[in-house]
Amino acid sequence: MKRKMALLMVAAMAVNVMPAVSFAEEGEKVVRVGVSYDPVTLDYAQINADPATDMDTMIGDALIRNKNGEYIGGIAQSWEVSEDGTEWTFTLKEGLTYSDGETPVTTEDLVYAVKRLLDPEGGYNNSDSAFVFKNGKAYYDGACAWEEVGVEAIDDLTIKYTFENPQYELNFTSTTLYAPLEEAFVEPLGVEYGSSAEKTLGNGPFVVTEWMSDSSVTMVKNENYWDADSIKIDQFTFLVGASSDTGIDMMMAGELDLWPAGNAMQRQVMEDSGYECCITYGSYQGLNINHKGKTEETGLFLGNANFRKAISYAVDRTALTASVMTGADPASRLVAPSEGGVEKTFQEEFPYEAWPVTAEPEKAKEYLNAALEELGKTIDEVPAIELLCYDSQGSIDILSAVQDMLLTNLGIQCVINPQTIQVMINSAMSGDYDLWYGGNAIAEPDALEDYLNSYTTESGQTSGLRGYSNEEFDKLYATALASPTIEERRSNFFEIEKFFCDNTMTLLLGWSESGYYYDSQFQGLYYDGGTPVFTYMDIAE
Amino acid sequence: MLKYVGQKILIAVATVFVLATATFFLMQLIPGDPFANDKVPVAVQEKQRAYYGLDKPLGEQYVIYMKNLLKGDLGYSIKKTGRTVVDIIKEAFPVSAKLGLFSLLFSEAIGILFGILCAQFRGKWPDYLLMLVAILGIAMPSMVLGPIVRYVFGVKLHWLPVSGWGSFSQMIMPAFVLGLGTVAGNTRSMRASMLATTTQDYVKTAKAKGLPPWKVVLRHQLKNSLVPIIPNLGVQIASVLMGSFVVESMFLIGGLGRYFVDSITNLDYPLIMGLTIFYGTFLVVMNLLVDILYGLIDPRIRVK
Repeated sequence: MKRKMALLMVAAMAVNVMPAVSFAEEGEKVVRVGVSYDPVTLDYAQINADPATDMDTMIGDALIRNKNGEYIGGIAQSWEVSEDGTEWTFTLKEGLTYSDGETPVTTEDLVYAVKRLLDPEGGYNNSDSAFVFKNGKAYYDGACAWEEVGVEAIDDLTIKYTFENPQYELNFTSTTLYAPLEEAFVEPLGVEYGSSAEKTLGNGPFVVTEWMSDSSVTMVKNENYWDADSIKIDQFTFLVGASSDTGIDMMMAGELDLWPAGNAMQRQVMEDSGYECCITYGSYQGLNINHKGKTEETGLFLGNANFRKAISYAVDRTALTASVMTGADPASRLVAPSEGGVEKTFQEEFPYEAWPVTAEPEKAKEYLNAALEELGKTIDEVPAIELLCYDSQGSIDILSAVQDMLLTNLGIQCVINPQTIQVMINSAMSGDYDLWYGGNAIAEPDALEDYLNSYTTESGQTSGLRGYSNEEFDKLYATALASPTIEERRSNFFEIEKFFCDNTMTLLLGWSESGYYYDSQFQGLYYDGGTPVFTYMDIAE
Repeated sequence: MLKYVGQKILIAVATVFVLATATFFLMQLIPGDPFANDKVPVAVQEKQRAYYGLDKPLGEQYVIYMKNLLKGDLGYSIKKTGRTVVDIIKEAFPVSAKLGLFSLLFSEAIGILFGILCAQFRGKWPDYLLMLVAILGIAMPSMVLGPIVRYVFGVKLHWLPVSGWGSFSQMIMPAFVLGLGTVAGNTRSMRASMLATTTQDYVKTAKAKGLPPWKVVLRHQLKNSLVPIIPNLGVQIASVLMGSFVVESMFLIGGLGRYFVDSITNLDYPLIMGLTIFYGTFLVVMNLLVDILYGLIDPRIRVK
């Protein structure tokens, strides 16, 4: 009897040997991708700087897509643009449906998506991205009616967008801002929309079938997708939360197919093991400068352009990226080598070197002396500068190196202030720092609307983040934003970049790389700006 | 007995109430703002704060929270947008509980076995050897042991999967790493307990009757030696079932462990409250059960 019981228990355990992650049927092409964090949500209105930004264009199809570097219609069949680039009229493809294969995609769904995003009561993370529409911000602030916002469904297949500033094709890719949402599905769910597989409805090339929180996200090919023939992978499984060493072990054990590139040592391990990689520049890493300073005393110095230049010339970016900031290349200007120009890369079209990538102590001292003279101070009167960062060993190591460089090359004392993530951001937002180590994602078409927007006087009125205000910068910013063509935008952005660098508005240290390692049989991964595109991948036989 | 149980339940309810109240107010002392985000405009952040009711006076927030708590509503997580705290616990707790139970079975079984053997061979080399193994288990942190066993048995030998959760083979390494730390404590307790019973009259009588040593151990010593181990079980079960941040992260297991750490670093107030209350209640219930069990085993406890 006891033996039977024991056998039954073993059998029960064996039955339990069901994998937690759902596996595709034999012969199907499955790709397992390692991601560091669980998506916070799959609601386009809330997705904000986490792995979901790599997944949203897989589950949602917007008006225009980037397919292998070419701009093609997503749900749009065609589009017309006004001469000044502010009015875009799209005609949708006929017969499109959501992934359920039944619910039709109409222009009303596009209008609803924007209206929901701008809902003043919604508090969506990405609400401000809809401020690009004419009167978008005014509606959000309650200053105008919805009818005045620049989104109009002309008929079921035609929609007209009017923007505050000119737009370009590439503004419409890598974002689900222009993806449709089915009101009848979304509204009853309210805030819970996008919080699980069952509570998400998209129209993209893939459908989320399972989302185990902090464990895995599984999506399968959407057979109802209009371009389903171009989709070669049957299933993507995003495995969440592995640390670097776990991820590498998983790759070695054959439990993972794509793993994000880590630091230099981890990359060496992957390369020695024969994995290939697809790398791009993902963010600008540096020390954000609070131009008003944490205190009046530090603000006096940080507000001086020569003082900021002295710091910049005292920092050895090459040494930093070779030692403690591995996974980044030393920055010699703002725009990274991967950023696009009109025909070639931006750097090729607009060559420029803002500062040396190795330290120049003599030059740094010249700038420091000039600053001290302008301020009527001596070196002994320079207060200790606070370096704020996230409480991680990596950040502290970088700031320790900067601290040493500033002390050795200029005789300036620094104090490192590591904080937990929310405390750090809170301190930064309220201007409670001198220099703050952090990164800003590289965006399309450039850093203007995301990163540099925070340096405008208007932005400074609502946030203490930069403590910066300059009329000339504001004018350059407004001019670049109003560029009617992408050619003019690039040219105007170069003027902004030079102003930004010449005035050392931030202490940019490096361009941080991001990418994935994989076995050579996995093909077709590429980057759209800083976003990896998995959609058109394939597995070689 | 009924009065004894009733008293214990009352104390348990009061404990959970005090815990919830203390956590609610202490949580406010953590510096930082859960909605601070340099990528989101300040105006949007203010609307988010209002949505979660965090713009109201603290006293009002407390009353609302406690009212909702009585209805079993722990609110929405701030960072896991659109997901209720109850849903998060419902999804992650079974995973952690399963891992915890498995590791507990392992550590109790090994600890008891080692304890018996150590007592039987007291002062001889098996005693020293087993205690050394047990002490090594407690001395080597899981963050060191985990990668070693993962590399050896997963990457090199391919005997076990290095990640994931669900199959029996996926449970072995994490349960071993999680359980090894408590083997030492169990071994020491069991050894001491076994040695204490060796000089008892009933053991001497059993030996005098000519029973073989293993029968004396199993039939007479073991049952009585287990009694002192029971009081520790409540706390042990509660702590091990709540998951482990390190082990779950190391083996890519979507359990409750990482939420305890993430909720605090993210200042996810509803999740901090929900997890603390859940853990506290679970701990209190486990202790209550142990108290009742102990009262049943030893009537003197009830009288006290």
